[in-house]
Amino acid sequence: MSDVILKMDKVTKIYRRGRSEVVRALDKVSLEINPGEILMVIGPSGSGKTTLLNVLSGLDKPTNGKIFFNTSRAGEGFTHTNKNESDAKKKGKDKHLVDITEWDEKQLTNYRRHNIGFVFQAWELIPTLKAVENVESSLYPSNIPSLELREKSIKLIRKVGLLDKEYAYPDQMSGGEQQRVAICRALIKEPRIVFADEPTGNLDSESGNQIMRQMKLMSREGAAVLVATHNIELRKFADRMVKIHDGQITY
Amino acid sequence: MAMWRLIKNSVRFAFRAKKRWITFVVIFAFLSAFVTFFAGTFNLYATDDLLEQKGFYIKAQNTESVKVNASQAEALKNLIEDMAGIESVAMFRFFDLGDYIRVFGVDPGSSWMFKAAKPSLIQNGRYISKLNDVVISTGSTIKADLGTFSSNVSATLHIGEQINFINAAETTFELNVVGEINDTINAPDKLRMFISDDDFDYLHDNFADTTPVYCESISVLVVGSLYNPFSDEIFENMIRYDEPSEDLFTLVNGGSYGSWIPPDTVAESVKKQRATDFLIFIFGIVGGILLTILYNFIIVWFRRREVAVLRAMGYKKKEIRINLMGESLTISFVGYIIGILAIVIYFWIQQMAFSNYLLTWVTLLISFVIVVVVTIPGLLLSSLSFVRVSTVILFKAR
Ligand SMILES: Nc1ncnc2c1ncn2[C@@H]1O[C@H](COP(=O)(O)OP(=O)(O)OP(=O)(O)O)[C@@H](O)[C@H]1O
Ligand SMILES: [Mg+2]
Repeated sequence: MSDVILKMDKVTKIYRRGRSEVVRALDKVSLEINPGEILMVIGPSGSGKTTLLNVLSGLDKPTNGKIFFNTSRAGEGFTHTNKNESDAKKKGKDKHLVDITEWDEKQLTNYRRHNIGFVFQAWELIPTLKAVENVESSLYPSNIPSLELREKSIKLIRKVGLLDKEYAYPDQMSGGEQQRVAICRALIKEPRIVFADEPTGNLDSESGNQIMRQMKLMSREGAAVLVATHNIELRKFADRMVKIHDGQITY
Repeated sequence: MAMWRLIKNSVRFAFRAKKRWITFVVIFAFLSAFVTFFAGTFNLYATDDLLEQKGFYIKAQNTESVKVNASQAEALKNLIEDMAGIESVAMFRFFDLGDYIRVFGVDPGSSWMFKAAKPSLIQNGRYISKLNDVVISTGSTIKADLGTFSSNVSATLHIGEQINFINAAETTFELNVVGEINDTINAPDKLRMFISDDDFDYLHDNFADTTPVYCESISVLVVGSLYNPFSDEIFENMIRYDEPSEDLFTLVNGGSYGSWIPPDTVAESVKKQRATDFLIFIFGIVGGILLTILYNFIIVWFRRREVAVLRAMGYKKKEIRINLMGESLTISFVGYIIGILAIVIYFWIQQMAFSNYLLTWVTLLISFVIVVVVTIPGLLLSSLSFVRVSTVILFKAR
């Protein structure tokens, strides 16, 4: 129990479209995510994968249910006001498990800043920034000295096999290369959890596999990696796999 | 340190979005040129007011033939400035040559003359710099009602042309038109000439005394707040001091300075013109502010995916704002500089006087404040738009 990093407890997310139409994007989903594993969420389009990632990363609030974050595994610099701590003790619960659905925007920002990395389907590199700068941008608001940051960033870029591309702009790189830069950008802040939504969706299978291998490395360094995809082929990279369909999880 | 790095980078990276950057710089350059022109118009207007619209025209002495000398003028200036409610006094030496020509003697080095009148007036060409130079009102016509001068020009006068005066003794006096001022509002039917002090004396002594109508005077102007278009202070003051109970009235009618001519009342057309100019100016300011706000919203729209990424990364609102700020501030600042440079180049090409009303510190400061400083509330407002940027867009393929 104390080993999980994120724990979902009967999380429901309901979208309303118009007056009458109601979409249950997540339906009482309970799920645990452990550090150091690649957890793959596989499901068809519209099954609720993205919604799952949104609520877990605090970008969106669930309609119902709780999401616990294990603060004992939080990244450096993370702060939070745990008003339930004494409460939890009384009830004999793990005091490190804090419900993120109760947090406000500020607290969620702090949560993402120190714990979460993202890898997106469309990479989302900042077009006016060179590769290194994109990687560094993760830590621009931190206090790490610029020189050290540059060194760290270049090291990472080389590590994912991008030689001579450190100073290239995103539009001078292939999709696979851009996605590797995006992975570095997530990695540089040593995240506790990485959310990847269709990370290989825009790539051919060869670059896709390469990206998944990088993801694997990421998880070996201790991060929990949650990959959402509809591509069943990717399951060979998973440590664990759950299926999602119409907002419901099946194992 | 983190803050400093964010600020530095936001400015550094701003230049890289070339297309967007250049487009907006051009827009802002136009804005700053526009605002500068209109801020300048007010400067011009205020000065022009001083010259013609308002004032007491005081004869130097009771006798009509004596000119005002410097010590008289200075003494009078000091006396008036000591009076309560009077901010400053502007004086010009002038005489009327017939009904249609008013001649001003100007000496920027003089201790009593109104110096601001000089650089603010030139609309076209240059200011007088030597003997026989004359600056006239644009498009003014010579009405040869005096018989004291003949001119080799057509109905209207322009730069490069000459005005020839010939007196009864057949002495010729020639003036070269070197500059023009815009006089269409204040003196549409009068030719106003500005000549050097020495020329003034010469013209007066050799030509004016043969004319039936002239007076030799100084004009005393009571100056209010020049830059406030809302304020009628200048006008009010003129009218107020035109009362027998007022010190000024007593002073100028006391005999030592001769009689006076009551101030003109504000012509309706002038008031209208002033209102129009002011409206355009306000449009400029409001437009500028709207433009900056709109522009900031557009920038957030252009960079919405970037904003979404930063929010997902855990950037605080303040940090995102700084990220956007670099682009806004460099654009408005560079746009401002280019706008001003464009004006300078335009004037240079047109061979207009440089040190004129447009490029005074006050004008530049006004347009700087409008163009650059309003960017900041624009930016703050734009944060309204980036909090609405949904991070969810990132999970959708482009
Ligand atoms: N903002 C929203 N408003 C209304 N309905 C939404 C919204 N976002 C998602 N949905 C609906 O919720 C359901 C789950 O959407 P979600 O984006 O999570 O699916 P997904 O598994 O990520 O699909 P895909 O593989 O196509 O990305 C879908 O039926 C979708 O139409
Ligand atoms: Mg999706």
